[in-house]
Amino acid sequence: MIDQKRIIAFTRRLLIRIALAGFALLGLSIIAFVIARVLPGDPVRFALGPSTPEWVADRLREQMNLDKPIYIQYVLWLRDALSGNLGESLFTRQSVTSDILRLMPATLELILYSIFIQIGVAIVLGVLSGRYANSLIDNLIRVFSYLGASIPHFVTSIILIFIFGLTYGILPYRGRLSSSIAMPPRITGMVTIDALFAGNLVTFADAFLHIILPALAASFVNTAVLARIIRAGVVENKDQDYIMMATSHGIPERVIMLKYLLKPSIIPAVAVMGLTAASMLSYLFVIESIFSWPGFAWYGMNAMVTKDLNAMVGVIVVTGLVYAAINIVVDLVTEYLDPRIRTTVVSK
Amino acid sequence: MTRRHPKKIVLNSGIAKTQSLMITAIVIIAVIALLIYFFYPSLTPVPEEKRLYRMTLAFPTQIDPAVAGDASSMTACSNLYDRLVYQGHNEELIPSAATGWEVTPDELDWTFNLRNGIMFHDGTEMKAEDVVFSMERLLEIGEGAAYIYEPYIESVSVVDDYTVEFALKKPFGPFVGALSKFFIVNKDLLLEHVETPGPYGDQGDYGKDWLLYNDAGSGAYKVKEFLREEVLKMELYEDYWDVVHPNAPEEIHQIGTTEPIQVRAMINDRELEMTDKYQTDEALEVLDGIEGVDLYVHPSGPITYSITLNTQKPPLDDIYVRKAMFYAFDYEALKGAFNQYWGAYGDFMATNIVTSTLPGAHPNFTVPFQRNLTRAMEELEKSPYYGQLDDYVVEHHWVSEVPAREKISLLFASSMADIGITVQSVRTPWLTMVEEYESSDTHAFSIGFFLDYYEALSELKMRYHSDTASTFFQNAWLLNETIDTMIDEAEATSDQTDRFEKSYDIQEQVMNMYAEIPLVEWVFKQGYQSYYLNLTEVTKIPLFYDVFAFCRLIEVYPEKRSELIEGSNSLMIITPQTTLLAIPKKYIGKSI
Repeated sequence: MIDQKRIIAFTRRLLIRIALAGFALLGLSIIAFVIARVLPGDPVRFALGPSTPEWVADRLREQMNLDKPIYIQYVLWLRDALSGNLGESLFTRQSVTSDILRLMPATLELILYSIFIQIGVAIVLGVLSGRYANSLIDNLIRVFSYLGASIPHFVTSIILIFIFGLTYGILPYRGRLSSSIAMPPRITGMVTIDALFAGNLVTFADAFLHIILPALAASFVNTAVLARIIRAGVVENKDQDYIMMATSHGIPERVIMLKYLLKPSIIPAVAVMGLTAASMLSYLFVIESIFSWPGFAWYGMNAMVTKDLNAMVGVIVVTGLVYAAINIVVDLVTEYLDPRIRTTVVSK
Repeated sequence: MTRRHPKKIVLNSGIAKTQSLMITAIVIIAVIALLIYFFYPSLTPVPEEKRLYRMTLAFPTQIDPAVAGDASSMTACSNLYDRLVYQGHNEELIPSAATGWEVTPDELDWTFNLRNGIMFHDGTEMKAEDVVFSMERLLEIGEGAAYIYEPYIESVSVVDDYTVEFALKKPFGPFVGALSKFFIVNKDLLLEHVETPGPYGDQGDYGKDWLLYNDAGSGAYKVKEFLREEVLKMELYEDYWDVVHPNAPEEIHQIGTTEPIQVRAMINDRELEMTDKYQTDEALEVLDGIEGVDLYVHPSGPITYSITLNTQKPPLDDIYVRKAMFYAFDYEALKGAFNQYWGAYGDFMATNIVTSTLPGAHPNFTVPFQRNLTRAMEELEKSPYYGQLDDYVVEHHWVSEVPAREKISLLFASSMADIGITVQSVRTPWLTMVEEYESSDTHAFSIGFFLDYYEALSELKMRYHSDTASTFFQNAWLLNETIDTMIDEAEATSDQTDRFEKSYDIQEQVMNMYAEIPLVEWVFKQGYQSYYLNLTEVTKIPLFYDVFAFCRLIEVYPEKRSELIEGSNSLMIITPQTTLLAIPKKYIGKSI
């Protein structure tokens, strides 16, 4: 009976969230569409060059519906977007949808590895820092956190390239694969995963090593922030009554830390992690540029700089979609981690 | 019976679970590390037998000749396709797919004889119909270099399998040289890949979609792989008709990045043979210091950086104000303001309103402009605006994406302050600047650009003809019928000597209008692996917009690359270890 109620409640919550996300995306698309078109500069003229005859530019404007009133343009765009057609990029001359599908996996792969690093390192540092609060270990980790939070991504990227690429030649610093290695057959678009699917360990190893530096650069700031959040959670929770009870029962400290203390302490971090993972879609352009990592973020920044209308709107809407999806996932994970949330919602 | 305490059971299973998870994690990490250690190729550059030529260029690269217009795309097309003829850096016209040409006395009909036996990459022979199709396609699509030919070409037709006729609407003297940007595509192959419906009526999309990733050319190289945002890989075409050096690259990689840190790292690791033209002087200095790497310096043809003055907007609509500004500018201080490497790499002060290294540039404009405040004040006092200059603020717009230009703008302002003219430096994003150029609402701009064909006349037309007044090539807004007529007449003159004389007249006329303060003639500087690259042959016929266009003439010595990588002591020098100055001798000695 309780299970049935729980499932119904969960499904209802999920559907409401999806509907709300849909409304938010609609609003986002309108804002992005209007802003893209009122920004200064003629994107058609910029794409074609100043010498191209006006009749060519007019033809392109007609193809892009730019000769129509803005609300008609939006309706036509929405109609196409709902069928997956986000228009053509003035810059790449290909459909924005195919550009995004081609480039998104590279960014997702980078985000994925970055999150692994963030989770792993942040938990270790946060727990240690919280366990040994106000000690030398805590202070050292605090210095690391401040450095991580204050050093810009491009500085971290360049430092990593200098040390591990240029000076000691330990790791590759450019692209997704060495030039002598062929791309594996595309299944997910994530080279490490596709290499594993293809059973090609050499390609996997090569791709794995190529992703280490950009993933490290991408994770530095967030790791520092998450470590502090986890530390705060550990410090707050370690004085709770249930911890004292567990200690009084003689449960080893290591078990208490990992089994009883970690879960509630990382709940705030999970929420932050979700948002930062989504925000990485936008700020990763710096890292993607420096490491020559052709991804979605880099594509988005190019679209903004060149006022590539369709690509701009497509990137903003897709980013919003990813944000919405991640927020829903974060909520679900938070519910799983914190039974109090589950119980409260079910009883309602 | 032994009774185990329930809590101990819980504790034991909890500890065991944690321990097993940790052990599993350690095992996974160890396995991955072992896999990497045993299977990953060495991280140090592997000496390769293959002759590779890798260069960095800006993204994106278009390999459709009807769309290509930027440097990266033109370089790719130069290797993937053939053209009828091209113009070298030293003014000469070099037959390529055409063996020769004739023109009727009225200069309206040009007949080109096509070379026999030029094979496309699919094994079919190039015929006159391919040339006709290529030009018609270019004009129909209207992008890329189409604007050069569209005002002049009436029609193009097949005379026979190896003869093509171009009928012009009006005489165009530089016509043959202008064909340097016209590439020939395989008609039958493209028509097989046309997608319908498309924006070009019966021709559908004209094969544009297919040409995003494939080539339809006959050039010395063909597309091997194209990862659009990363690299264009081209491999040598074995049946190419023209000279291919025995040590020519077997593969060319056009890498889509100009990030200085990446370029430096790749050059250092010998994973890049030639840098792009956009590296800063600071980056070039570092590259020059790397063993086995040198800089190649060559005229940019043209990149003349100047301050163009809007002759329609007060107070610049008065010639005396413009003359005063011309004489008041502190040209000497410009060297220090421009960059710390002034002269080290060959940039020199402008001496003309067109780039002095261009064919047809006036030979008598050889003295660098100099500051003369006395003369400036004399001119200013003749102006009706004299005494009212406080009512005017001259805005100088410069591209914000190039922060180094701010110094020049500030120097302009401080120079003009000495004669009582207020100049405001306005940092302007590129997109905004493109829009501003369409109106005659700004006082002064600074920008650089590239030519349609390799003559001073092309620069004159782009900078001063009324037809280009609303483009970012100019801001002078002369709108002068006399100058327009002079330019049109010069372009209609097929005899080069006569055309150059007319060009000199135009330069003198425009110089006397003081519509511009010419500042610097830049040179291009590119780092390259001088230890294992020989550029002697390729630089004998440098294309005017890309001296290294013909990669088939570049010599690559992979065994020398291996020596560098392995740190051999027995090094043999192939090319001089000094910076090459490829500017013609008559220009050497100018303010370097």
